[in-house]
Amino acid sequence: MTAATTTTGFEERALAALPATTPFVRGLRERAFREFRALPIPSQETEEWRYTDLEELDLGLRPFAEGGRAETLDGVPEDILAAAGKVGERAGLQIQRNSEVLITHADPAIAERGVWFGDLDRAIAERPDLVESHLHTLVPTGRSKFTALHGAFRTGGTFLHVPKDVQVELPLQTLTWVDADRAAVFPHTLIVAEAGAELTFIDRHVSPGLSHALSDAVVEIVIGPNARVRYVALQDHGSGVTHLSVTRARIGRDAQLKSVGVAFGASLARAEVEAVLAEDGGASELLGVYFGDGDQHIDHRSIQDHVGSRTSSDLLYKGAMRDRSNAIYTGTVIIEPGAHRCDAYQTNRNILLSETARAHSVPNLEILTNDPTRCGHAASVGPVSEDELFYLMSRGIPEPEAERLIVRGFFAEVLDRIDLPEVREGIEAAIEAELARDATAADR
Amino acid sequence: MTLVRICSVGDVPVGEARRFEIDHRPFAVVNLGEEGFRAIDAICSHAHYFLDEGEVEVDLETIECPKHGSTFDLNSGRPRTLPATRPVEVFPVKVENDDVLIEVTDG
Repeated sequence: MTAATTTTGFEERALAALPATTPFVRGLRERAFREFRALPIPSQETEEWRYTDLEELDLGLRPFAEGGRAETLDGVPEDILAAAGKVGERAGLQIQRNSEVLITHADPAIAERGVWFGDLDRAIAERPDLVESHLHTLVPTGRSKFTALHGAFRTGGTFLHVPKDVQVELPLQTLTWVDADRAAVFPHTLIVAEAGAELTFIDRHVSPGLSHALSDAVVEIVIGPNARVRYVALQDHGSGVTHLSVTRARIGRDAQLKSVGVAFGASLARAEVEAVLAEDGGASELLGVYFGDGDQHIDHRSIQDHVGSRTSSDLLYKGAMRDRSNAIYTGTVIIEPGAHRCDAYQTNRNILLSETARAHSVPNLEILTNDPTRCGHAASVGPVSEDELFYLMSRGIPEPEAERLIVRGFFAEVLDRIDLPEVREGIEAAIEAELARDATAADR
Repeated sequence: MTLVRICSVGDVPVGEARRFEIDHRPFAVVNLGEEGFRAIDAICSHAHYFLDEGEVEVDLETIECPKHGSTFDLNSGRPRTLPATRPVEVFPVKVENDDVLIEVTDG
């Protein structure tokens, strides 16, 4: 079960050494590899990457790290099972270790209703009719050097397809666990909710501290008319890990996306979340929580793209930064020409818990129509309020506890909107753990 | 640790499990025939369902949760299949004459 070295570096022979796949994926890999070679490392001279420097990112990494396959949990180490977190009732649960899917469980009851859940590679082989028309359509491989790298070297991943009018009441979850040092892994989640379908999916990315590793993730969510999707991404990588993710959802007529993005870990984390309200009447709610310490760099970038009329979107991202950590939020609301009576809002708030922590918040509006119902944004960056601290301390609460109370209250606004109790409780516990940690001990 | 009588040998047929309570806490007692008895927490670690209502695999010394199908090793309490990821507690068992005794923590 120990991760073993196979090849080093993103070279042609490493591509050829990947596990065998279908002609469709072979073609995709070859095209993406050419794009990877042709595209430059994103430059800080571009607006998209202005605040995050990848020029120095060490790409001398193994493009494939074994994770093994298990029929039972007997061979699955305790730390991986613990990383799955508090797992309540699930319709499906999959564990990916490094580049390979280790084990999958799908409730037979959902399979009987036509739901397909499991290893993306297996889905490509068994159900090309469901996968090929969607894979890398929302996030093309040529979008950036890192999506191209993902397209070329991806193995494993999760595919979830819920047929028309099927409601999956219980959440489905994938844990991607990375413990191979100096490796790159490419988690891919492809979710297709047909018309009228309903589902909740939890994507969990966890690793121990490593000297260096890259997690280069892509999430594509296709939401048919009147479908409802709840998507939760929880990132808690250890130090030394660079986590880059692109999540893009296409929301159909009168459909709904509710997403929650949580970032606690990784040395450098960049999460791009994009909701395309492609048809009339669609709605999206994008929530985000992040907490940085040590030298962590956490970069969030969102797009709420209103193409259809009477579409609505609401974004609320809140983060606390401590030590020398650095947060960036850049968000854009786009009301496209011909999209009438749209309602859009974005809010980003940051609380700084040390004098050396930094946060930048850059909200943007691109209103290309003349009749939005509402379109606005709000952003703030600042330390804990002196007045609030004084108020609590004047009632006998010591300063450290008063600060913790204020931070809890700060996050409550977003946590109260998360309607999955176990997810909310998990985030609350993670925030408590961050608050309890001695600031001087944190050295990410 | 205290040895407590939980049931009689004849209360649990071979290859089956039965639920008994001590101080309102439910335990599943499993009869593995020649391999003896095992006792575990009766409630699945994954969701609130009673393991004693699940199927016992005598050869593998496992019990399967009747709701979601996770199997648990009756000796270690560890799940062998998803969706459970956490173990259930196991308790040392002793048979004295016709009584099945389990060792539980005091208090």
